[in-house]
Amino acid sequence: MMVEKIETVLTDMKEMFGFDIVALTDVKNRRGQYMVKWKYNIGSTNIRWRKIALPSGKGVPGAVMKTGKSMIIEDVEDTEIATSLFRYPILRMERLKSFVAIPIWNDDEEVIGILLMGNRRKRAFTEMDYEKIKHHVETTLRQQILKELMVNE
Amino acid sequence: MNNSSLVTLLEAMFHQSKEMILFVNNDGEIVYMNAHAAETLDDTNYDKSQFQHICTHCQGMYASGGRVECNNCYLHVDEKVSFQVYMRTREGEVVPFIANFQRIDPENDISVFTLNPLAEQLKTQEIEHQKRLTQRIIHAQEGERKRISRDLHDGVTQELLNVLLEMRLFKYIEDRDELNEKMMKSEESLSRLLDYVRNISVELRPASLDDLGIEAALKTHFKWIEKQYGITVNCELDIRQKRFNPEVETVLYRIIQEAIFNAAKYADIDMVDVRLEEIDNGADHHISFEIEDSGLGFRTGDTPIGTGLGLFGMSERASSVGGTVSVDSAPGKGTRVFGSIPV
Repeated sequence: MMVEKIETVLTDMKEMFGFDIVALTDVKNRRGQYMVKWKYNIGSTNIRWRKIALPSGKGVPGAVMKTGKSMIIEDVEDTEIATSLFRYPILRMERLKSFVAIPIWNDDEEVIGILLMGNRRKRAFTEMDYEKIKHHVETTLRQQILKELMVNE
Repeated sequence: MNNSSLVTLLEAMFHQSKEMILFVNNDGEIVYMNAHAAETLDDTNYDKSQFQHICTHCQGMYASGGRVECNNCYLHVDEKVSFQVYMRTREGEVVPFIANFQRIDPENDISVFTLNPLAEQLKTQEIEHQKRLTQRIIHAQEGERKRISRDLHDGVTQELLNVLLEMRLFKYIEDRDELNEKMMKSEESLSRLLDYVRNISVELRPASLDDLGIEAALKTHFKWIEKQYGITVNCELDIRQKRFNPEVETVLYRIIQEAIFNAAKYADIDMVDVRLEEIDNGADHHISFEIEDSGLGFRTGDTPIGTGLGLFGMSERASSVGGTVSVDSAPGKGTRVFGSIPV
């Protein structure tokens, strides 16, 4: 089997689904660690994301983690987020206008990472688009993350 | 019909007018002034035997942002119409007037300077302005409350409810090992909650500011900024004294915080420089501060992207302790916020 890396998977996804950036938070979920950091950010225009470390419950990862559900925002300006963009640093830093954020679960039903894919323009997502993305995350990215987790443990 | 000559009429107008009329020569000395001007203006501070100078009465012109200044003084131009000027009156107040200044005798360089009271108009304008400002402040306050309330509800209440439910179940657990594990889980939830609450309270007002002083509070804040927004704050803090008047410390902290937030929000930068220097030469003891980025910048005077309350708040805070704040920026040239606070 081909040896793949998370980074490659993310880069592929960026191309495949036409996103401006594809980012993934720290995949470690150790007890006692309550900070979420961006581990990968393909397509970023700056290096600020590397330094960001959000306490749990904050920002886009926080919102996704709290609910355990995906977020699909077609136009940031159109939502409440726009008035409090400062609470979502990554959206501000990358100037995202639309995004999809998906929680990634391990087999013990714990969130092990949050995937953020966004565009610097408004973008409409159909049910089909989302299902395709979700399917790809399930079959490729999630497996890759779990694999790397196992290697590291 | 035409009984009186123009000269008599003009003279009558000069003496009777409820408008202040002054004739001023090139050096700003008052050649003549009418009765109304003589009644209104304060004449206590000059020697009657000498020429009276317009500058003893004039306090300066209105400039943008409500400042009063002497730049581009009307004395040096041939004509300046409908401008706002501040004069000292007999009652010892400084009152705004609408003024016209026109050179009427170029040969002898004599100008006529007429002044009309403005207080009424200004008052209605001020009330309007105040209203708008109050609305914005109320709006901002409401937003802040909403944010805090959401933080409390989403974070604290939810988490507490969780722990409560977990603990309620304790009494049904027979197996000691299982109970231990459950209790450990609750403990973890509680310590996470503790972190969360601590975060909220630090964001509202850092305890370190009260307990340890400005230097410690700022350093902690800079670390937080880096984690939150990925922006590195390079700081040079040259402060000998550890503690200052709590008001001064709060003002400094808030101004620096606001300036960095602005940089993070609008400048699109990875780095901000903060300099703080305590200057003490006996009579003059103050802290000068400077927050500088090399980001996008903006044109001063443009309509703000945000609420515009931030910059306003900074200067309000500074003036509340007798300090000053200035902002220097141009598109593409970065932004520098600087000023000083007396200690």
